[in-house]
Amino acid sequence: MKRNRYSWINGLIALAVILPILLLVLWSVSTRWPWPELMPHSFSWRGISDLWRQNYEFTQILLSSMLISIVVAALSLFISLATSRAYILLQAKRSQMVLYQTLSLPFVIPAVVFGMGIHQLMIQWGLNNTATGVILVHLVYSLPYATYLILDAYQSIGLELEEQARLLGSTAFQAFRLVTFPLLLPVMATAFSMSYIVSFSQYFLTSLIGGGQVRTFTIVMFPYLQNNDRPIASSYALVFLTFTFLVFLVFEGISKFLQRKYQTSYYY
Amino acid sequence: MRSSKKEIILLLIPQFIMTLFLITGILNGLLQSFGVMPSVGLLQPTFAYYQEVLSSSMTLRSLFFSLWLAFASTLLSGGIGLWICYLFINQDQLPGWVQRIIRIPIIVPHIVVALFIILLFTPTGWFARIFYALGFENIQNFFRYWVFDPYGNGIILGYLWKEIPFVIFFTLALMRQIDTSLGEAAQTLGASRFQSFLHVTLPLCKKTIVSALFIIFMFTFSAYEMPALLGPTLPKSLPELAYIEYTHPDFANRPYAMAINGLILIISLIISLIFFYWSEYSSKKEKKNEKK
Repeated sequence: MKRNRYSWINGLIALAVILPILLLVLWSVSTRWPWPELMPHSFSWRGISDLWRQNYEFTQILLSSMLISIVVAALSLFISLATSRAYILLQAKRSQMVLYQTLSLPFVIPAVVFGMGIHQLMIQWGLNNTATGVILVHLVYSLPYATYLILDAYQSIGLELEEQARLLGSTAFQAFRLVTFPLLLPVMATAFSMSYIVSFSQYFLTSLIGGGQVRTFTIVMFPYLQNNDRPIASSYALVFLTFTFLVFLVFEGISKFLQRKYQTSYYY
Repeated sequence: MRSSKKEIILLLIPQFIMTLFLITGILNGLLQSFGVMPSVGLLQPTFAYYQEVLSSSMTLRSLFFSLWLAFASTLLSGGIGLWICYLFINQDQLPGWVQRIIRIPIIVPHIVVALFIILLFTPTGWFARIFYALGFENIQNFFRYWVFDPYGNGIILGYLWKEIPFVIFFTLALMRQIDTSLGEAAQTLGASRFQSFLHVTLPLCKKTIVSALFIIFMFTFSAYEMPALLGPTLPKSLPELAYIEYTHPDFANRPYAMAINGLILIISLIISLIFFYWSEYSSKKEKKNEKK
């Protein structure tokens, strides 16, 4: 019926998505895979174990990359909460529109243009080659993703419930903390993971502003890709993907868990 | 609320700082593109660098290359993405695993996608090996045109892998909703599934679809990583060219690099304005129609 005629695409899509990842795994564990063989000639865990064996440096780079992205995501969250609240308080439509356009500015300004433009100033401010500088430029491009999500949710929650709480005697901060904040937690989890992923995947800005001193995972991975070193590049990519997926799944899980007692209501 | 105004200003300070940060970067870059670099003693604004940029055949080649990459990626991922949406909404029960699998490419960073393309489409890639095993002995020649080629085929393929799921992700929910309500109505009145998709669902989702296409275009036009990893020696994409000039040991090249950046910026702004005015225009048209 309906299902059989169109569902062939599902298998094709699954193939298109899974196949590359599978190849990644194969190349990571292969030592020799000469042309024209369909499977690796010989396998070994050496590729991946060598990674962990340059032990200290590898784990250090992974952890510092994650730390940078976590800070970026946390800051994005904080700033987007403030901005969204301000948006709602600004009841005038025109002011809201102006604010909304400013939020969207990073989508209009390419990262390469901004990066090369701010670089000289970063040097003057002493922020180049520092993690702080990298965090700041990552933040510019991670922030809009968080703000869009939070703004949407905050708007639909509204401030009326908080007002009620305050009428009943709570302080402003209590009202936010006990009423609005719990309602925002699911979206905050999603916003956090989105900002994290955008920051973790950044290459150009980290390379330019970090100047090779701030070594994130992408920075370390890039040269292997350029030099077509397939086993090592694949090992790095595999670890990269694993950690990105882990973070994403953890926060998705948190978000779903927080919403377990919610009912979905449709607004249109 | 009386305390609101102070509260609003306080709350907007962080965002204001970030926006200021962004604009400062742009202005500084623009200033340098006009030849104003106090640190080197250049104080006179001039269009000379822009003239140099626009008359350089290599820069123009890069410009057309970047535009080609953007248009091809956007239109192809839009078309294929929408077609897959059609196939999705016409399945009674779209399995949950499909919806989850379609989101995987969105999380995978572009650098890793570049590696995917290399592992699959190069002359020693997996597809080449499959065809060779099937008897196509000269297949390596065929795959020479798919990565590192002057048309950026590898780059476009990489973008497709990521952006088709993005289009689907962005538009599917809305499309499904319209299809189950108005689309079904059209079908009970005699339209075929395809007709209802083409004449009912798509037009009503126009704004969302165009937003997705806009985002894709902006990104593919100005991105650095994919063309750097999968692109040919020549032509280089515009961002690559800008970066090469920027990192030139001769400091005097800096304004020239910034002029290329200025070019990227101008084109991005033009596209953004076109998109902005188009959505305003179509919103107004819709409001007019509703009033009737």
